[in-house]
Amino acid sequence: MAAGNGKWQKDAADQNFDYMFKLLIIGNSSVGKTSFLFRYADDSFTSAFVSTVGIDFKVKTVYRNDKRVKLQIWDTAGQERYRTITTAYYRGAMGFILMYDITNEESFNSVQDWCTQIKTYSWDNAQVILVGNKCDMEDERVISHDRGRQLADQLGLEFFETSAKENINVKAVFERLVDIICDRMAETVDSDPAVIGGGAAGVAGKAGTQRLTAGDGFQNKGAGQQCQC
Amino acid sequence: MLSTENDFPLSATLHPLARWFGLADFVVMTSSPFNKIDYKVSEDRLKILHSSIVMAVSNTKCPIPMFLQFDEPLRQMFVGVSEVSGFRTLYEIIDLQKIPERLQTLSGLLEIFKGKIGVEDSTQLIKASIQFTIDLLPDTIEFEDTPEENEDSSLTLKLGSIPFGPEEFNSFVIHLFTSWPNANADAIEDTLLHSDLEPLQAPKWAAQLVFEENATYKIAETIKTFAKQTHRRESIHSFLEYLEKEQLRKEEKEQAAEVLERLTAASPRDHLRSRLSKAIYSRLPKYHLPVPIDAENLNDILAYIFPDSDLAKEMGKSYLTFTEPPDNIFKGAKAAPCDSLAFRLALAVFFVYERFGGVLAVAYLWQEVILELRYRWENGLLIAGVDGDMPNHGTCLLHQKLQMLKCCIIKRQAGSGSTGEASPQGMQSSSSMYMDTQSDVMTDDEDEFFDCETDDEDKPRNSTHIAVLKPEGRKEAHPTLRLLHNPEVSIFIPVTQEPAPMTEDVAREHLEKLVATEEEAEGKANRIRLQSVALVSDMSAFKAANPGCVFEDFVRWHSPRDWEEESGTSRLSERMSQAGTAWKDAWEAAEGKSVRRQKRLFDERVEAENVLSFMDMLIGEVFRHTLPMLMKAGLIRLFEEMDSLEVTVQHDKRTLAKMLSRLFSEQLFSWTDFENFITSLRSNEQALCAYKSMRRLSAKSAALPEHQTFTNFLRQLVEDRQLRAVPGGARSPLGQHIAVCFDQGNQSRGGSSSGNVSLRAQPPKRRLPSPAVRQFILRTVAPRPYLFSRPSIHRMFASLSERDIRIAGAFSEDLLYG
Repeated sequence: MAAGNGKWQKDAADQNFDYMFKLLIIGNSSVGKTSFLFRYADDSFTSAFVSTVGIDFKVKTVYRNDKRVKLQIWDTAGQERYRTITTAYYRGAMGFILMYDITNEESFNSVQDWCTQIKTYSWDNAQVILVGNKCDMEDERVISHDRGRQLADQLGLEFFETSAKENINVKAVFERLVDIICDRMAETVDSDPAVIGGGAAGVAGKAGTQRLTAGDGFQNKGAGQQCQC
Repeated sequence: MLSTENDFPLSATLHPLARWFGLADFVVMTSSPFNKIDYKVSEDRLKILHSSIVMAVSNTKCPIPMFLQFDEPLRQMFVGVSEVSGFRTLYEIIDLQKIPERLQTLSGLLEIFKGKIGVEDSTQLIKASIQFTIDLLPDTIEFEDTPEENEDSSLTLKLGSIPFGPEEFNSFVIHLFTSWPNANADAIEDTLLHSDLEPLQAPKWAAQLVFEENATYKIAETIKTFAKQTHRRESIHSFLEYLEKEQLRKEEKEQAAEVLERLTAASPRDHLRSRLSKAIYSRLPKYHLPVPIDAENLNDILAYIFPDSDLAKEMGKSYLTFTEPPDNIFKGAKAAPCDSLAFRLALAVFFVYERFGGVLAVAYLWQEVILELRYRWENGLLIAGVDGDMPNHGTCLLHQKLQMLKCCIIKRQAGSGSTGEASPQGMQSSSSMYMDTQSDVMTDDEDEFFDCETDDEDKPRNSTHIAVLKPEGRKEAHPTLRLLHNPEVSIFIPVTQEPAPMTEDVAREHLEKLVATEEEAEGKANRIRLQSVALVSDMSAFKAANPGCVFEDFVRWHSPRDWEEESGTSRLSERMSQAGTAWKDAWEAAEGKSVRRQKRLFDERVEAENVLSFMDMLIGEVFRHTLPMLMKAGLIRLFEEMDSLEVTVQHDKRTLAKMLSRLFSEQLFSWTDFENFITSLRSNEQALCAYKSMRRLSAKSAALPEHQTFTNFLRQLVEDRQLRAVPGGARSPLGQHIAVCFDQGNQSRGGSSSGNVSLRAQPPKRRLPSPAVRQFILRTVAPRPYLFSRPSIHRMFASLSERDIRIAGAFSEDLLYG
């Protein structure tokens, strides 16, 4: 995972959770990503969240099969200029919520591009759900439910229409995403339990694992050199 | 006991008593820490114990034999007794380290058997089941036959390759079981002088392939040895210092001036050395440097690593290469492509480690690599084998760092290009010469970024507009947008700073920083502050390019969806129009500065130094960072063998590749998983090696009919590792093949190549290796202890190897008429 397992493992000890999933919400600017996240994490809604700068996150712990799953949900800026920056963080995510706005054709047309971005930058097992947001605004709808469904089928994604404002399907999306991540994990786990440790950034206190790749070489170097003097 | 079905069971897990006495059920009393029976009981005590058991068995009428184990557990000594319908059977075992001559043959054993029963005449039919186990060592035979070939292919390690094969011979053995089931013992002559028991005539043959448990194989060992080095904590410098000290010590006797000269030549480490190569480089050995790699070899290795260097072009040598397997099978594995610099580095490190004496040589090589990289950076020369135009987080960190260095070099080229060349056209062409692999988009961006003083170009068009301030850093006019407060003027898209490319460790640090902030309000402000640099830079550039612009103008370009147009009127979206938001604040704070005058978001000088200091790592990290590529190379090597041999192995390619991905695609490296990976890889390699040597061996009998059956048989032996009967035994075609291939006689080659071997005719004199183990089971039904007793069953098992003989006898006596 791109985001600091060392730290997360420590968290695991401190905060009592069994798994930690990193999720990412992506999609064009102002399709309602931040609102969607706030509805889920805080159960609140305002139409005037500050447009996200870079990336931001919220944490929510859920229970699944008696296991505590800590969700670290990253909300990304949708503006074109931020695309390259945010893709740098795709790698560690286990799940993506790819969002468009049912009242905005352009945001729907970009779905394919976002999907390609996920394929390029995320790891293979990442799960994706396509979400058409703002389904409360029936009057302004330009993307029919069917079109959304069709595209989802074509891309091989699960599909929901949601409303952060009216709190429709918000929880369902997250629950479904956690479910399919867990299913996927169970599949791979049959042959090797370590994949949870790796992919999900850490079963708490997993024995016999150690960081080998990644940048800890970078951190150790100073100390090592001192010893040599 | 009379049943011959269970004679010579093969399962190694079977209890020895079952093997020796053919028993299915029995009870063993043995010592354990819990019951405190001492194995080393005196003979008297043993006798007492034994008679107690006899009493117990007789009192309880227990039909199941009871055994008592004594002596060292390793010797496997037992005595036992059972009682069934008035017969008592005593079980005894003899184990001798020296084999008395008369016990070495069937006749000798028969004598003992008869003596024990007390039947002198031979009226009683004694049945014998006999099995000889012959150990066939195909490895040895193959080696003797083709020493040159082996030396050539496996003993010399080649740069750019991974060796394959068993590390030592006899990594497996084929047990050939030749048996004579249930024969009339008296009819067989087996004395020291003559024996009827010729394995080549035995009616029943079976074979099983058994691998030497501790045998090692080259691919697996290569990776294991390599991985072990990842724990080393010494720095590269410590090795180089050691080298220099050694050097000093050697030269102390020499003139002081020369020492000085050498020191000045060596310590600043002439960067041009490896490139300018031969001329300068060949000077070095004159000083009798105790270098671990001599100049010629070092040049060779460096030319391999940097095929685009002058050195390599000069040498013009070609090296072994790996090709990426089809189907993108390694997509998930965080390593580097087969034709990448990182990949070649891994193989070179391995080569140097094996060939030039371990870590010292690796440190020496690595230092050279760093020097070359620095040379490339300082002179703005691209490096072959680094793909992409930004770090790909799907690859290993080493590769990402090299990609980062490439970004820096490209940036440097662009930078120096614009100062060196006056016209943008000239620069374009000069840069495209170097930048053959990168995308055009990138080239354009870079050109624009450093080169763009667009005023000149724009002036003709601009002259119609009234520019209040001199606009700066314009990229192009926006096709539709006009300034809100000056609708005659187009909004100009500014030249912007590209976001800095990030390697995964930097991205992770960044996220950690964000996570470390408080989640709520205050933290949010912090997070925005941490990330607003890029936004502020864009705003500054926009202000500079569009004098007289307002925030709304910026939003219309940067975040068009936040400009809402409704029934003729247009306004900022609710979220953008609030006061005191991050966006507004940033806008207020941003000064109108074109990117040329801005602080750089990506400073290639800093980043390049970061990469170079990353490369200056601990020796263990050199191994650690190259390990993914070495493992990938190992797998590809294994796959090649899997493709070339039509034998089914335990793990398919996809599984192995998945295991590799799992090890490296995530941050948590598990040594347990690593072990599992090695075990799986080894199991494949083992089977492949065995099959390979068997196939070579089988070529010997290629002239015999049904050769295909034989190779199939060999393949099955490798594949399922089960006991396989040789239908028809020695005289069958299959048996003939085996006899020919494992023939130890002198005329083996002549015999097989003549091709006139007829199955009907007396087979030519062949000699298989002499049996490693000979086992006999003698059984009969005879009255005991007296002639008038009821006849009872007697059985004797004898197993002879070169080292010892074990005889297990079960003799019964009639209790009623005894």
